[in-house]
This record gives sequence, C-alpha cells and structure tokens, in this order.
Amino acid sequence: MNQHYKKLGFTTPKNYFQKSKDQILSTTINHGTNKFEHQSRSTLQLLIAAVFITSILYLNFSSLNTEEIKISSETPIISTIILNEEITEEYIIEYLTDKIAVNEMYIPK
Amino acid sequence: MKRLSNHLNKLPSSSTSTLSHFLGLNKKYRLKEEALLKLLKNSDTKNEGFRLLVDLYHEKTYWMIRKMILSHDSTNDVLQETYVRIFKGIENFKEKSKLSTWIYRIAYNESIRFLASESKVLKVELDSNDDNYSRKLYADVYFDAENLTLKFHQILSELTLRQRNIFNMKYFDELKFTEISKITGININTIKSTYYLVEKKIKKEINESAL
Repeated sequence: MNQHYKKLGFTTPKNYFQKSKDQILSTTINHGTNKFEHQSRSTLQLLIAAVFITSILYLNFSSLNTEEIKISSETPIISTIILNEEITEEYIIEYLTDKIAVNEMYIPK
Repeated sequence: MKRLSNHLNKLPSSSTSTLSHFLGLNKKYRLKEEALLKLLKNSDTKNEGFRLLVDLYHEKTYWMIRKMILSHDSTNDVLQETYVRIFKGIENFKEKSKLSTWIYRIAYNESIRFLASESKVLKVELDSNDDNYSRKLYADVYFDAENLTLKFHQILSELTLRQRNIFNMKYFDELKFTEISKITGININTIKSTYYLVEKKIKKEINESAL
C-alpha cells in the first residue's frame, strides 16, 4: 500500500482498522442474521395475532347467530317492508292510537 | 503482440523478470477476485466471502474516502455506509469492471453524497473550490502535519474537488486512468489532462516554496 498517507499528516486512532472491520462485519453479517431471526419472530407474532383475532371473531359471530332477534311485524316500519305498504301519517296515527288505547284501557276482570 | 514481444526482448533480463512477476501477480489477483466473487454470490458462503472482501479492501477504501472527506469521524461513517451498500448490492454486481473498481465507485459516490449533505446541497459542484478545506483539516484531531505537508495541503485546497479527486486517486491510491474514469464517470482524456495539469502545478509550487 502507498505510504504517502503518513506524509499527508493523516492519522487514525489506535487499532482503528481492526475495530472498524469488526464494526462493519457486525452491522452487515450479524445484522443480516439478526434480521432473519427478527423476521421469523415477527411472522410467529403475526400468526398468533391472526389466530387470536379469528377466535374472537368466531366467538362473537357464533353468539350473534344464537341470539333470537324478535321483530314485531306489527310495527309500521316492519309491516311496510313485509307488506310493501307505504308509511302514511294516517297509518302511524292509527298504530299509535291502538297501542296507547290498549295500554291505557282498563279492562275489568 | 509482435510489438510487445519485440519490446520485451529489448528489455534487460531484470526488467523482464519484474514484468513477468507483475503479470503473474495480475493473473493471481484475477484468480483471487474470481474466487472471491464465487464465495460472495453463493448465499451459503456470502458471509465468509464478505469477511475476505473487507480484509482486502477496507483499509484502502478508508484512505480513499479520507482524502475526500478529510475528517476521520466522518470518514468512518461513510466507510460503514459504503460496506453496508456493498454487502446489500453484491448480488447485483455485473462484473463489467474489477471488483475493486466497483467498491471504490460505491465509496466515491457515498463520499460525494456525504459532501452534498454536509454543505446542504442536492448536488456537489465538482468544479468549485472547497472553501472549508483548511478548516476541516485543522479541526480534525487525527491530523498532524509538518511544514511541507501543510504546503502540500494548501496547494490541494486551491484545487477544485474534481481536480483533487483525480490527483489523489492517481498519485496516492495508484489507480489506473481507466479505473478512475469508471469510478468517477469522467471521460478518460479529461482525467489524463487534469492529472498532468495538477501534477505540473504542484511540482511548480513545491519547487518555488523550497527556494
């Protein structure tokens, strides 16, 4: 190697080249290995998370399916859907009057 | 070929043995590079190959960068970045040039990138002088020069970045003109004329200061 560098006045810290070499190898080769380990660890974590989320979703949906949804077909909105009727003011007034009247009416035994 | 053999015949025996020794070394070097590339391009032996590559070129790359950057600490950062790039990009090396030329080109580009970020510009102006040359040199604790060296640096500081890089690569790193051309992307004739012009200027100034 050309020895002119010494004449240029440039110096380096003691054992610099050995330390620098080690540093380069640790940031490239070892980092590459660590990166692989890190990637496989990430994949495992993702897998566990996916299983967890799937099980939660499954449990939620299965409980939703077992719940009975009771819909009264007599309510104006539902009945209009079922019977294909238009909601008119008249219809709603009639429905509400019936409902209130039934609730308020005292029927002696 | 005939001209070359005639030329060899005219040389004294000691010169021919030196030349054949050099040719032998060159062949040996090419074989070494081929073997190294085989190691580097195989995923099973890449790490081993890279260790050898760092062993071979690391020190020379450092000095090449140092002469451009001047400060030791910054050179160390650029050197690390250079080898990370080499490690990541070795699979893409097309073998159109020597492995060492490819390595020095990456180092050169990294240094230019560093100089641009240091002066907060997108692109370094290669044909302008570095006004901070002396300041950077004296600010570095790993710089210790005598009078003649200081004079030498003073002359170097008056050169443009392009002139200085070409001179350093040829004079200090002992690279061939073709290699310098591949590393810097500058036309070979421009490189030759720049080098001889700078060499003449340095010789003249050193002689004048010695008087």
